[in-house]
Amino acid sequence: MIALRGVGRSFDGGRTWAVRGLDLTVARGELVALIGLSGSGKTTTLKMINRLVPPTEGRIEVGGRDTAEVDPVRLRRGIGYVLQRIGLFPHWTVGDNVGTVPRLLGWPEERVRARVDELLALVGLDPPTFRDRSATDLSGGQAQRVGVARALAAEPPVLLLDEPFGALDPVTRDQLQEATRALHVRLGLTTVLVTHDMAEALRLADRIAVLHEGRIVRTGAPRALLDDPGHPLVARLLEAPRHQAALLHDLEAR
Amino acid sequence: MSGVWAAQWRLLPIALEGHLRVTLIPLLLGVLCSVPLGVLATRRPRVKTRVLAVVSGVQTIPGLALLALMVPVIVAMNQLLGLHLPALGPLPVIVALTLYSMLPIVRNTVAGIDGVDPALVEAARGLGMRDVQVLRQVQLPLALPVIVAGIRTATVWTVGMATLATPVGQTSLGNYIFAGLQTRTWQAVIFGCAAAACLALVLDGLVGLAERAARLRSPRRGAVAVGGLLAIAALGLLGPALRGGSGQPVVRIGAKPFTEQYVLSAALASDLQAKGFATKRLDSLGSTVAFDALVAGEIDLYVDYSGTLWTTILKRQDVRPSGAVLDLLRERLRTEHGVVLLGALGFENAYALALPQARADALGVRSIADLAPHAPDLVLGSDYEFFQRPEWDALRTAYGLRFRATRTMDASFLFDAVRTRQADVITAYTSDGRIAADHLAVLDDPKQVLPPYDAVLLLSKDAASDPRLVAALRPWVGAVSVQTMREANRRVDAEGQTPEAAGRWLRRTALGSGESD
Repeated sequence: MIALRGVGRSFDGGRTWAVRGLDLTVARGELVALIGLSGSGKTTTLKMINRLVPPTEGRIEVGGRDTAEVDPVRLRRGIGYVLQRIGLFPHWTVGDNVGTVPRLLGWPEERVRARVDELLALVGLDPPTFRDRSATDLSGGQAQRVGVARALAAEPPVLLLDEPFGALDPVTRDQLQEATRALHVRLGLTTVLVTHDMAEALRLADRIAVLHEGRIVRTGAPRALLDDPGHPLVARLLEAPRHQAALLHDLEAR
Repeated sequence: MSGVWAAQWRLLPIALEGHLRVTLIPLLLGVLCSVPLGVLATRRPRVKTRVLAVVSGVQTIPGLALLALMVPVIVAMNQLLGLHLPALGPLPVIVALTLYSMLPIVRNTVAGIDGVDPALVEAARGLGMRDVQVLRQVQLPLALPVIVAGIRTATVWTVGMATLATPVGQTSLGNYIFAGLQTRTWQAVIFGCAAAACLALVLDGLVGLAERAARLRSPRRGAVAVGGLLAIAALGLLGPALRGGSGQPVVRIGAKPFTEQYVLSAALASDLQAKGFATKRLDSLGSTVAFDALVAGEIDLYVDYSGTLWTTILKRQDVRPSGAVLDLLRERLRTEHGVVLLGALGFENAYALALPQARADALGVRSIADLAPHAPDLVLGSDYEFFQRPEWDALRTAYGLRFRATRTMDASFLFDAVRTRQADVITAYTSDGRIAADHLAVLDDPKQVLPPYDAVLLLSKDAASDPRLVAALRPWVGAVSVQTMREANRRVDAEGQTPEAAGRWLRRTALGSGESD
């Protein structure tokens, strides 16, 4: 469904590279997590898929078509996109926000409204309560649920999630991770998730790609990574949740 | 006193209408130019630096100077491009105020758009909005309160700046302020300021209401705001159209900004009206603006002074007897500027040095030559023009004058200054009614350094070719004695009469027209 072939991006005319030589394919219905430290190039990689950042070299295919040959605006309307900073339009209602892409696509108003209610229900928000509420009048978790609903409004086959749960409290994050995985499965989406949290990647992803200084250093299913990190960075990334779990275990055993 | 206030109210419709015209048009043009320019600036960093530099540069020019400069600029453009744009009246004001209104609007548009959270722009693009859609659906709506704040700043500035339209021949609320300052009618000054302040508050409030209506999507607020703005616009823009022209050619009489000029223009206007002409008075024109306006045919006639024309138009430094000056002026003004000097009115309004009679007696000073040895202990006060004029240089050189200090102030305050000893000696006009009223001694000029300042009636080429008008004005030549002029000026400056009342008195006295108005 998504294929990156020899993709690289430089922001300074080729002197340094944010990412380079990336090869990655995401099969239809798969959820792939891109994980790495800050500055590893994972967000740049994600934004190249919907061409918010055009690649400097290499080729990206979505649904079998080279994204360089598609109008980027049309491309983006077919790809759901969720940001860490959520980015709900504060001057619009929740309903207006969710209906953004259907309206851009020129759906009739009746259909947009029906779709908005359907999506709010899908992400677990009661439509009559939330539909006409101001987008500024939401908790962090509610706002990101709206963000997900907005991304899915026009039934895109592909969903890009850029650290979507990073700004949420642990309890809300846990609920939303659960709900997102369920949506991915239920809607048969092809999903790319950017995260720096290995526990999140292990829990949600079918496959994990580990980025280090602009290159993929390890790809594999969660089980495979746990069995064999294969790279010092992967071992370190796995260390953090293990350490926490051990701490918790010790405290409970006391 | 109530009569004075009633007189101000009577003038209000005309002044307000003129003021609105040169406030609303520049604001509308300013918004139409500045918002797109601001949007462009946010997209092109190089454009941004340049645009902001230019609009900020315009802002540093003092308002009065910018307006006054527009007049020669338009005259030069007309000559260069063969156009016939009116150099006086609304056009120069509209151009200047449009430029002036741009800085706050451009700057706030840039700040408003740049201030929109980048995450929202990224979200909008990521969802598949085109650049225009991002601008219209996200950036502009979110920047709107900041942009409108800029428009409101521009509104308040423009309403205030438009009071400076008066010296370039555009009627505005500034007519109250300029005329009031010169004739010391403080009620007029206060009235003009209060009217401008009220207008600024009303417009500011309506623009703010319109913005809130847009933001809250409130049709009721929107209707009030739009209705109010439209009503005000209609008042300013349609007023002249509704009143309609009489079809009769109008004689436009100019006046420079001081009492004597207002009185003379009122006197000439009332005389011409009595003789069947329609008249329009353009009071408070800047000194050289008046002459340029006459040359350009923007006004038909005004009274100037031979000494002023001698030095500022003919650029002469030498001093000649009155008759020779008049002959040469008549010749040169006609051949070089196409302006007709109809004749001298009969009185002189010369610059002279004056000091309190008692002080003059104590110092034993009767002439400027006597004053010279005392000058190092004395302060000389004068108006904005005098220290820039060649007479001042001539006077200093001829008599070796060296004052302890010189002070510049508005001519209307000079008599107060000498009374309160802020200045020891002042320059005064010989026809000023307050010389006698304040017991000042006018010093002789034994070396005849100060040129003659005969009041002369100047006509534009077109006006001079109208024999009926020339015949109507002819009786004024030689008809006004310095005593008559001084008395008319005194009635305004000391008694608080309106220039119109003093003008009617002057006309009766000078022309002996028996009828009462």
